[in-house]
Amino acid sequence: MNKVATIPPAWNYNPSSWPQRIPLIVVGTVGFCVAMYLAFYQMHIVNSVFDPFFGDGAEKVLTSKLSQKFPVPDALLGAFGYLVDVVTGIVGNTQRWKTKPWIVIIFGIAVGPLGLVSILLVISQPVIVGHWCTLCLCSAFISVIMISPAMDEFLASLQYLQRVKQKKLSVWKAFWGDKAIEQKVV
Amino acid sequence: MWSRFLNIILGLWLMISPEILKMNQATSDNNHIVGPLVITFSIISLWDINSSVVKANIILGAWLLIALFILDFSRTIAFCSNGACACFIIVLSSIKTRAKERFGGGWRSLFQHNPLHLREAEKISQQQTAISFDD
Repeated sequence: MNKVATIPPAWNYNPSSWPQRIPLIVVGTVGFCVAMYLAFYQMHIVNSVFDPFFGDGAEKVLTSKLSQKFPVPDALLGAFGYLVDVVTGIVGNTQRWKTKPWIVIIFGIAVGPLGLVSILLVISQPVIVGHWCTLCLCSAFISVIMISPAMDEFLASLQYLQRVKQKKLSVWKAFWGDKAIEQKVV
Repeated sequence: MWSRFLNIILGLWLMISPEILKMNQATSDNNHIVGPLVITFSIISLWDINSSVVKANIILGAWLLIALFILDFSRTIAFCSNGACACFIIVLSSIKTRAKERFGGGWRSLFQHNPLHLREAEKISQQQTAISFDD
């Protein structure tokens, strides 16, 4: 498959290429490790949590009432979110914006809301809990820097589905990567 | 690009200034909410595809200005700090950046009847048809 064919129409780069996706996979893996470490503390697997700036602030945040609102530790939910980001970042070839729109859209949905939830958690630290947690801030930062780099691929897939719709072909089939539609629509 | 980074620094200042300037509860909460949002929108707008997201900071800057007269800023230095931050955030978020990348018409293309990516796709398919006739 030549290079031009992998670039969406009216774009000047391929958002599904590995140089575009690998940094996201690496950053997502770091986020997963950070979130798992925080989850280990919440699950009492480790006895203390590292915090270079706020002393016992991290422990207060991680044991706050807000963090116990969910049936599972909130850091574990974050770790699961990062895991979905990494897995959906890896799956698919360099033309997946067209061949696997479903995985790109799951990837976009996983990255976008995860970042926005992280910001709500950052706001809740000083406003509701009254303490800061360095690693929680790092995790939030990671999820925010992932948003825009993931959104380009998401947009390319949505534009492809828009072209499918304009050609009056099945958007549902194209969403799941129908080969016949792939051949008909650029 | 530099304007986005300056906005991130201003957002960080909003987050830490309540401690340094000994602000009261209401103004601290205000800064602790607005600061992370300014940073978030500035980071998201660092990439060309979402560069217009920075405009959300104009609304946050405007709110900071309004809040100066709604919330109780008992200390003058806190009032001045937030006022200056608000003005800088509004000015910096109004600076337009030139996009280096093309995104098929961007997000607005999804709501257009005949967007750029569709027109270019038609050109490409016409070229492909012409090539297959030549063969």
